[in-house]
Amino acid sequence: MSTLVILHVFSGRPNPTWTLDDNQVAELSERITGIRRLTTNKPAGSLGHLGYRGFSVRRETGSPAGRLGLLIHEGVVDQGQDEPNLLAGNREIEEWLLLTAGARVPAAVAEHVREDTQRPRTPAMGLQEFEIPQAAGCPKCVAADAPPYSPSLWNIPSVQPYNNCYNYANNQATNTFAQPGRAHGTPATSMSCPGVQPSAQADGLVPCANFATPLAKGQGWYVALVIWPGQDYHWYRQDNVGCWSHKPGQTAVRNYDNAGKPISDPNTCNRGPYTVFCTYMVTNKSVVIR
Amino acid sequence: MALRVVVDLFSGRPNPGWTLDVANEAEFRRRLELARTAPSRDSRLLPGLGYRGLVVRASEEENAPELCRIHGESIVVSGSSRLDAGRQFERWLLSTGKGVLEPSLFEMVKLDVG
Repeated sequence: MSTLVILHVFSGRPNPTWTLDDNQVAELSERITGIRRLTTNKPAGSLGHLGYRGFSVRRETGSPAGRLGLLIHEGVVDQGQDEPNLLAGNREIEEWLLLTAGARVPAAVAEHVREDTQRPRTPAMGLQEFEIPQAAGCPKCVAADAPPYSPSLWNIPSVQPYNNCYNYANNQATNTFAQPGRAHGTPATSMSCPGVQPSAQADGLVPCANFATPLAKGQGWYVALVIWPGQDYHWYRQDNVGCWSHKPGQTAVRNYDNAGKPISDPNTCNRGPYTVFCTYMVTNKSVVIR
Repeated sequence: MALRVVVDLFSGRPNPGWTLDVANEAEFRRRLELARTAPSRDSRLLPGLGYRGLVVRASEEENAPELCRIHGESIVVSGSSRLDAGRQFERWLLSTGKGVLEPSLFEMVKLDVG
């Protein structure tokens, strides 16, 4: 199935649409993966004013290349509700997308879009931006089974709301919002380290002093348990790049802490109200959670 | 079906919440209607751990459709965004949970909302 581009510019007439060829799809992908800044802003075009309002790029779910749904305007790439928005910092993707239209966009309309893309970005309310953490500086991962950091497997509507930090740390999407010990009739007795850790051990996790001991294939990977005293627990997992990632409740998987920094050690990262670090543990594929 | 307010707060445990009574549901809809459209300050990204906003669901069922999410002067409704100037809407919505939400959690969120 083809990758469709829609130029949002008209009010009464249907908007111009065209498809990207394989080379153009590859170039778009390269341009987007090259963006290293996230933003909490949406493209201003989503408010629906008159005139140029951005480009949509769409591909259906059944496509071999996978579903795609982007809105690109004013240098912001809105990737849909399950992914953070990207901030390009310039209008090059929009200018490039306009070029892919060829004669399918009337010259006067193309000129209108070009004029818009050469204007500075509209200042927006409550703008928040920060860098996507880089893997550089991560500790070495010595667990052969450590999962890769693949948020796209988790940050989708059929998975994200039904799985929590415990699911993610164990790399098992049970869609049950899994609780330590529930699968073995030993639920947590309190929101404290001694209240939660034994439940995780009943599920098969094993406490350890650090994450430096090599784990051969079949021996699992490292996770970490932290506590918001009296209220809740939280889990991190070490990915195969060496840094750690986590899934706060029903929210999206991420590889940065509450300060927006990469997590080289969950014992020292910014954990918000989860102030108590309990222990590192080893989990593996045979652990049963529910 | 009654609307349910959920405090997006926890990571491991299910989030706490409460049901709006008829009068508060009417007030919620009135306030939502009055909120004006604004560029989004999408609060999904920060912070990850701790209070992340109030979510109003269409019914008391778990994982019922999300009607709106309110956090940090932003109201996200069906992908569009509205302004909650001074977080007044968020503060009011939180107040409907007083006496239902555990007092220490209520105070913690109240401190965040201001």
